[in-house]
Amino acid sequence: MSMLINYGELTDRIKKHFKFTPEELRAIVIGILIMAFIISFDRWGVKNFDFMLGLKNLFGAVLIVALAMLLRISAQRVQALSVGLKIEYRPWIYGLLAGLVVIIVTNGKLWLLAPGGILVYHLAGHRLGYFRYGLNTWPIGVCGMVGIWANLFLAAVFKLLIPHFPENILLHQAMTFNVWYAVYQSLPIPPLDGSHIFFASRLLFVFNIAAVAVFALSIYFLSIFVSLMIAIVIAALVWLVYYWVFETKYIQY
Amino acid sequence: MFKGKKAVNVLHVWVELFAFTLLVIGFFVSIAIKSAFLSYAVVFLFGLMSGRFIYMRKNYAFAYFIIAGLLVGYLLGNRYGDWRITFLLFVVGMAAMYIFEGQRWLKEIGA
Repeated sequence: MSMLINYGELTDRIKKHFKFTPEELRAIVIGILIMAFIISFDRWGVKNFDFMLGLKNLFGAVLIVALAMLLRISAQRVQALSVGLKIEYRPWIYGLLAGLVVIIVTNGKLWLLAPGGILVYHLAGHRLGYFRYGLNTWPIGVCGMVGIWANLFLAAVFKLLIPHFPENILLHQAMTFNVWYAVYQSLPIPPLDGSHIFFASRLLFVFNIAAVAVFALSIYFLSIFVSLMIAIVIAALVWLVYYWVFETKYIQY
Repeated sequence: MFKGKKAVNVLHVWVELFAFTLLVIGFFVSIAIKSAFLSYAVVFLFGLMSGRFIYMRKNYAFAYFIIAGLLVGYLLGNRYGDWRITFLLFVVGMAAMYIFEGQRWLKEIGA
């Protein structure tokens, strides 16, 4: 399916193709600011409006969102480069504006985190020798999945740090943000990553969304390893049930 | 699978359905907001969304019909703000995004 490349080749590709374009940086900054505003919406004072407290919370939220977004896009870029593709991050204006509307209407109770998606280009020359040379849905789907699990990995790291700093609210917020971000990105709505997985393989999509949902829920109550194991087992069961109930009956190949 | 079923052909009436859905969404969003300032902020955001929608489909009449559905729904549910200011902010938001889209300052995704 995919060709393994050596470490030197990958680092060379990263050096040449990893950097962000000015449009991408603009899009990332806008996405970070809007999502930071969304997650700090109800933190501008306890009873009365407190500008300085709100600004402090907004700054903390900017750090959380920036870390989550940069890790996610970097992981996707490295994965894409390893299979001879290049990723460009693009904002989704409807998603960002809908997030603002939802946060205002629900008074900060519901986060809608859909800042943008990825466009994938094929690097001519770097995909020589691959079965089906050009762009295919499968490697794009895998890139989408890597982004989602990068956020869940970050959530797990924050979960590990929480017992050492139990009174740090920023860590709790960072974990929650990463979990929700991964869940929203798993939805099959273009241009979110779930749609890339969906178009790559319905079975992979069902497995992934079940695993993400179970992991996102169980990480709050159980240890990381147990959460991961439960997520994989339940996702495998959901995958099997979906295959038997839907794929074999209603899909005609 | 659907033998003998009578159903609406969605392909024939999708514009009306879409406009009606947005009318209902606009109504409930508007009625859920409990302050004039937030109502104005939300209608401005809806204006921005509509501006992008119109920009991408400026030569199609259905786009204006759908946007009108959203605006009418929002105005019907508007309890706190003045309807004239609400309408004005919607138009200003739409115009602002239309101009912004024309400048292509930001490469976006999706249509």
